[in-house]
Amino acid sequence: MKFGHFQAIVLAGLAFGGLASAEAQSVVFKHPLDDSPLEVKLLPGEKESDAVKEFHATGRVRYHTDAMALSEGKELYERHCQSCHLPDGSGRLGPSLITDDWKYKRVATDVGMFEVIYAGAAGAMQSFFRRGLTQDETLKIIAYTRALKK
Amino acid sequence: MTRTKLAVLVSALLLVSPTLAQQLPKSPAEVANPGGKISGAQKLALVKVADGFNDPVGVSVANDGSGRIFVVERVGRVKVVGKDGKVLPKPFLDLTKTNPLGTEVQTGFVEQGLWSIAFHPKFRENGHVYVHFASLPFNGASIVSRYTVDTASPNEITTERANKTVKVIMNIPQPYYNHYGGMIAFGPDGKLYIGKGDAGWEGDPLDAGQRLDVHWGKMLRIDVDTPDDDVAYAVPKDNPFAKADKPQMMSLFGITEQGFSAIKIGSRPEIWAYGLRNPYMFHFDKRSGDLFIADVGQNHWEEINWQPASSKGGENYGWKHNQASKCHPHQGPNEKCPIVGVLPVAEYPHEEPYPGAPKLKDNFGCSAQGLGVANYAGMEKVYLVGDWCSGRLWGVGWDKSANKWQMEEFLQASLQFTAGQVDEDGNVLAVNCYCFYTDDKGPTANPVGALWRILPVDKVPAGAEVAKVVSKK
Repeated sequence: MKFGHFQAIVLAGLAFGGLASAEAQSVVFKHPLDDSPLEVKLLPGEKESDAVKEFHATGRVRYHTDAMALSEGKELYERHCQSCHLPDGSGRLGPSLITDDWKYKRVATDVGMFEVIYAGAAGAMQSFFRRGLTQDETLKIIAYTRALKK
Repeated sequence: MTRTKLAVLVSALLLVSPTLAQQLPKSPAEVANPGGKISGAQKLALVKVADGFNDPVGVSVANDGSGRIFVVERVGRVKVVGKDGKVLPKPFLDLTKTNPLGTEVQTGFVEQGLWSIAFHPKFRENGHVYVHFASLPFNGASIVSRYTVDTASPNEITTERANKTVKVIMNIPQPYYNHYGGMIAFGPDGKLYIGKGDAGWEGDPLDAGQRLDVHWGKMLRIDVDTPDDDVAYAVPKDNPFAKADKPQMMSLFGITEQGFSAIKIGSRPEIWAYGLRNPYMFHFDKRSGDLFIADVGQNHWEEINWQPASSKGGENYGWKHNQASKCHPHQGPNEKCPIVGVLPVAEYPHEEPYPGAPKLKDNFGCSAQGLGVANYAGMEKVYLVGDWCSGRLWGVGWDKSANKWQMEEFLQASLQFTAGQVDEDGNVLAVNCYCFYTDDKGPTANPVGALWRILPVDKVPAGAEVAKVVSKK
């Protein structure tokens, strides 16, 4: 199945539709290297934004059409991503982000891209959680990266 | 004792002659590539020994029976890990404090810093340790210096002690901020070997690899057992270019062309081997005396070189005419160029093996870091190589039955390997940092790295933490 990984999302979040904290862990995250369970934690002092809560519940990134968030995503991308993936996302040290031939197939979904950014994959693509990136910032990077592909 | 004699002795003691069968590849087709098989090698795991190191880029052992492991932090410190796995709170050596005007170590670029510590073969008697680092006061020049441990303080060379005992062995200027090489180690012959990079930029603009009048792009070999008030070091008489530039009267007749060709004016007598790009890590096999060198490649290929213990030195590994078994600049499958010097025994590609090539999905990396020679877990003289970018762990070894070199990917980890060493029990150690070029926030600001021991999975101690890996076995 093309988006088989997305099946990891359980139905609870979709069924309830709301954003109550009880639904916050509806998406089951997996580590990109071996699909082992991935515990997604907040950084010390990090506050869980509504966008992050929604993402955890549904796997949906709400920033795709949010101009301000996309602008912030661009700044974050330029700071953290472009040195490996180039400004246009075509890839250099890191793989292309504007292709359908993903190096990690999970990146086809926003949840999969989140997993790679949050947890890291192999070698130089290390965890951005370890590097101090908040989950809300990660979602903005995802939104901007998807916009690059359009 | 020379490496040759030692190897003969070891072989005689073992009543086997495994090195006799090994040979250098005679053509690019004989160079091992990923996808091979190391016969008998068991499934491996990375077992965490200790954590919390600032940019660990080197690791060594004293071979004094203490079981201590010495982790080199790029910023300029060496930490001691006890046999129990606990990291001692005080550094073994701290070069950030030895200079009253600030640190001794230049760390401005990620390839700069303190790289390596080596223990004198008679460390137990003389307490001598040697380090190699980029110097801040000398504008990034690389320095090899010696310090001497006080027997009353075996786990700490205090700042006072360091400054009291320091002896500078070499000071090699560095024009650019990359390609320093890094590792230093004593060979089984008791001589100190120094891995020196081509001094930087890209494409070797100084032609350092091929020039014999510079220390860059070489393996150097020196004798450090000289009187302290005499000279910093001596050139071993059996170095390949020890006498190539000796003062002599000119004679035009009665000398063979071979004799004339041995005259190399301006050559550096410390050179052991040349034509290297950036030999950051190299290791001797303690059993055979053979030497493996992981030479970090440029845009497309990494190479692993091998010298038998019987080597007399003088090997030319081809840089910058070749990288791995390819041409440089590398054009692709149909390129044509001579192979200069000695071929590597193994090579592996980057994601893009040549300009415009389809990107590989597997079996690639970007920076070869030799970790150590494994003689356990079903392996016999297998050089373990970790990649800094892809987190892959390869084995390189001679296949006796197929009579060729093999290279097999054992696993892929979510780690950036920087260095390795064989511990006192013969197991290979590795360290990892979070200090990639595009991600470097400084030697004490990056997330901390760890020390790992590579063990067969059935020997992982109960309750031990292991690295997340995808095993390819």
